[in-house]
Amino acid sequence: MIELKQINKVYKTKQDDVVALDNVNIAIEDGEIYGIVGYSGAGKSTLLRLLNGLEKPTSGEVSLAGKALNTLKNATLRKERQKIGMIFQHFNLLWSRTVLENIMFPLEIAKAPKAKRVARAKELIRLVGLEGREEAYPSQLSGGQKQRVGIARALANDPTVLLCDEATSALDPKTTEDVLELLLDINRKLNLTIVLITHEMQVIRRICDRVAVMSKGEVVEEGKVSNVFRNPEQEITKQFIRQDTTADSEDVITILHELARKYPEGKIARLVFAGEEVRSPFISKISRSCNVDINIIQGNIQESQEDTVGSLYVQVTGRPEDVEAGLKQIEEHHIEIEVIDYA
Amino acid sequence: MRRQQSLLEVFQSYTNWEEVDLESLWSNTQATLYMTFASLIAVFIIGLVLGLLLYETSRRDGAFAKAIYYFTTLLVNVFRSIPFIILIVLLIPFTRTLLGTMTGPSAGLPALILSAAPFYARLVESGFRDVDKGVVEAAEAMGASKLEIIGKVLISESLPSLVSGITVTAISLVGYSAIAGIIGAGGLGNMAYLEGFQRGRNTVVLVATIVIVLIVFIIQAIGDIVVKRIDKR
Repeated sequence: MIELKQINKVYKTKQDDVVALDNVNIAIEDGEIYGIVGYSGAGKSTLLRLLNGLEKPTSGEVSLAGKALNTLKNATLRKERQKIGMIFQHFNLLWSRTVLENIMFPLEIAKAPKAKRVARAKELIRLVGLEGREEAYPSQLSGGQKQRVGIARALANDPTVLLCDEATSALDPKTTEDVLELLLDINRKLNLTIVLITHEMQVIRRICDRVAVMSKGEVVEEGKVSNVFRNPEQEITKQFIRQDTTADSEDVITILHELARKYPEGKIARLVFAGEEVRSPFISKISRSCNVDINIIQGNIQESQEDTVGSLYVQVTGRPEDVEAGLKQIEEHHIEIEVIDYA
Repeated sequence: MRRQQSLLEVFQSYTNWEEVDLESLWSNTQATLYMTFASLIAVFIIGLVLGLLLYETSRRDGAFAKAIYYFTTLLVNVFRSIPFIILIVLLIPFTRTLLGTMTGPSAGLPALILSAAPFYARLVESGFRDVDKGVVEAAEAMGASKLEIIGKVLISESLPSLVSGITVTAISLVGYSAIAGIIGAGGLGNMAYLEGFQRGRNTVVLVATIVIVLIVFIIQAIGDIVVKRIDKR
């Protein structure tokens, strides 16, 4: 269990004080994948570094398995860090070392004997699927392979927690998918707690159990990923979800404008639905019961850890009172609805 | 009245090979190599320590670190700005007390070290600065101590710059040692000046020059090969 209690972090600069974290309270269960999402400058990077003591809070308490990290002496803190793995956006491998030597690096720091270092590193190379690349140097690897080395290195000392600092932000979509799959896999195999920060909602959707949304140093929304996707409360959360669920947004917006111009009498709405609703034929139901036409403009469905999330742009046309009634019924199906006004 | 030499005669004056005393050439080459490499070892160690000190103190906010940084910077800048020929003269009394003599190869060492160590310290500092901050952070996150970070990250990751820096320093030391030779420290510079120029033996000057150029080329080649082998970026 990782707990952050009433965390404040203020950076003092010559001009003024910058508040990086403002009264943050988070509790992360053992074995869960916890995601923190926010735009750059939201404070998520600072937050992540509190968890291994690379940053100290100005006030508040950081506790890991009951131990208060922020009060530990340097030597004890270093010992503690060996049990907390960390991976990075730019991998941060030592270019002067081979894959095998990079993975052995944390074991050297933990003073493991040579034979054990080699054996453990080879085991990890198998776990992350890099067999045959032991003697390669980082410069000879692709981004995805580098991140696999990063993950293997982070796991070397059997950590209980893995911190991921924008671990997939420098990777292409396919590689991102592979790395997320690997993270999910090790989370299940090793029952490892994973805390990740990202600005990509799809990362949260794909692998996280719970999510915290950060804005300007504050956690503005927190909860189970499926709940947050279904009922986002804050505008910033909705923005993140939209960014994830809207493919080719520019095309869609052009079409929406076009349609709004052509059929000013109808309503265009964006629907977000999750879980059971995905499987119910609500569109034809409503179309029949309210006597409206529903035209599907764009839609997609995406898998999350435990749920399915879909989004749909529709145009509802008919008599104005029927349209109103139709939209109301959609809402009654527990579908989030947002009427778009492009007129 | 001295007859004006023709250009051809000038060229010919450089090819009187019988003027060259091979034994003296060899012992002077040894003296130059000794001055260069004895000072190089000291420069490497002092430069590494000073460079590390500059690197570590430049990033800190504490008053003590700032004071050390400015003092080291001052020291480095002062010794870098003194022309070598003046530094060696300036140090003559010091050298005499320290070594009991002011001639011979060892007499050149204090000045050589003092002039090259600050220069190398700057190269070391910039080599360390070029090490990816993220890699240092990764090592910290693994629980590495300061000493482990210096040894396993900073030095290993900046090794190509440290080596190419020491190559450049070695080459400038060859040059400095020739100047030191003229003052009386021996070596190829001394040979070119005393045995060559002073006695009008142009061939001796030419041969000493060729040997110095060869030494420089060899140092550069070794440096390049080593850098190429260790640089896996």
